[in-house]
Amino acid sequence: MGELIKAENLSLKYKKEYVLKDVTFSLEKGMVYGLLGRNGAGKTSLLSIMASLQRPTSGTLTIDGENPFENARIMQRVSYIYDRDYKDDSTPVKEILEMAERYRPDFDREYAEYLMQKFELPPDKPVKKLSKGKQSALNITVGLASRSPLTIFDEAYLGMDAPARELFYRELLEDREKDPRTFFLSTHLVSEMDYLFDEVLILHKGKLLLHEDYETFISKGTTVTGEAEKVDGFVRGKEVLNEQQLGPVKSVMIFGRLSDREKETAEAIGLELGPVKLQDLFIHLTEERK
Amino acid sequence: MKGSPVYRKVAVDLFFKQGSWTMWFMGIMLIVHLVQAVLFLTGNSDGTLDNFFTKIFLAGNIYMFIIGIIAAVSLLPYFVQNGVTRKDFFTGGVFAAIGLATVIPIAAFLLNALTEWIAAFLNIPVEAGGLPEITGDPDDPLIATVILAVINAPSVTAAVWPNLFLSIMNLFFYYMTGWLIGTGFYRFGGNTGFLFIVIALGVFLTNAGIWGREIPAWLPVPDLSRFLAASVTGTLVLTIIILVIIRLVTKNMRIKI
Repeated sequence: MGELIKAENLSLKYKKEYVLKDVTFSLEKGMVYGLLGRNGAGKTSLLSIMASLQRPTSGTLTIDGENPFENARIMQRVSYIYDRDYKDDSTPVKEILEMAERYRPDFDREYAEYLMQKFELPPDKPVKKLSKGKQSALNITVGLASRSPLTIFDEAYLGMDAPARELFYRELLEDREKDPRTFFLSTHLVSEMDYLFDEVLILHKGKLLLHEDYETFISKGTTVTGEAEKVDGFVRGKEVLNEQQLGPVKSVMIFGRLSDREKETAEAIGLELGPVKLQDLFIHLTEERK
Repeated sequence: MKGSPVYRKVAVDLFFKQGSWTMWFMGIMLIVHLVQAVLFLTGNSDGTLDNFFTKIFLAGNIYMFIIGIIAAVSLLPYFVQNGVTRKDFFTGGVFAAIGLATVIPIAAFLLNALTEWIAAFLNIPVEAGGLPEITGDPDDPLIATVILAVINAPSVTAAVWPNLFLSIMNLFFYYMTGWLIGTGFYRFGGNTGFLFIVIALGVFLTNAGIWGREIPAWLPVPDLSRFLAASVTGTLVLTIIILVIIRLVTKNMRIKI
């Protein structure tokens, strides 16, 4: 579908400290990207450069082949939705949507109204009087209804309850079918959102640790389940991510691909092989090793 | 409006947004004026009653100064987050400020005429005067001179009342000075932000000097007040300098989230 975003040796420095260092990647149009990273990994810094809120210290980032900073054509088509502080903002809900409608060329009013109804947003209420979850739902409504070719959700669901978050995920997938565009989702709720991602990027301490297709990445790990003794014997010498035991049955997650021979052996001794979760891989890759 | 340039949309939106605040400001000032008039009539107030236009002339400057700060600190980030470039915001903001600076004195003039007409119609024996001459003294402490330079729009004495152009120029000048301070604090925070207050006070004193007001002797500002055109040019040049600084500081500014 063609390249949308390209980052080359992107670095960002605050005073003397690097928050992003030599980040390089290339992203295609029309995909859903999951951006993972621990607190302080540089996720928001990377996203705010994409949203033209700041410039990198060095390196380049292009969107649609152009530098997005102060670029009206690009800026109005990149929506950056984050956990905004509304505590002093008495703007009515509908005015916030009107603002998006005025400045976002692809904004869909009908869809906005539909989402407002779904999220039960009161149009005339001052935004500071909404609950945290409703404020997030408003942000998400703005983000989805703007139909921007690049839509970034940075922990946008904070305070939303599980049904509301489900609604958000469902709408994102459905609307993407109707109107294909690129989403960038930064999240801590890995286990809840992993099924949304086409590709995964992991930032760790300002560096890009990994950028991979979701399925390929997931297949890097395996869950081995079976009799405890046999499992232990099978995984000996392998990198163990996690283990659980229930009675005589043990389940161990290992990192690294299994060879065909290993798979056959496992089957022969009655072990069950299954996929691992993105969350476990993420934790394994970014945990502090002592 | 979808097809119009972004800065024009910004100008219209900022004009109406700040215009709605301005209606509150004018409304409150009108109530203050009416209460004062009643007190004056019932003999509960000694001193003189200044007319509504004069009130707006003085308070309007401070009002514009404050909304200029808000424009820098709160409105710019809001617009950029909605995909507007800093440049479009700047251009739109300047046009909106010119619009506000134009509408305020016209509205004040009309309301003033209306209050005077009503007073005459009802035969109420109240006569509001123009602005009292406020002058500083060379022996005033610096702080007094500075405060006077800020609150007392220097062109008042030169104004042939009501001089619409001078009003517009003053209101715009105060708005931009507020914008300058807000910008400095937003971008640099604490200490460097404070430097922008010092710059702004310097600008106010310079402007006061240009209009022949009392300023500290060590400030080498020529008194241009013998020629109205020279003073006006001086204020316009100062305003342009402020605009250039604002644009340079905001050009690549990070929006904090």
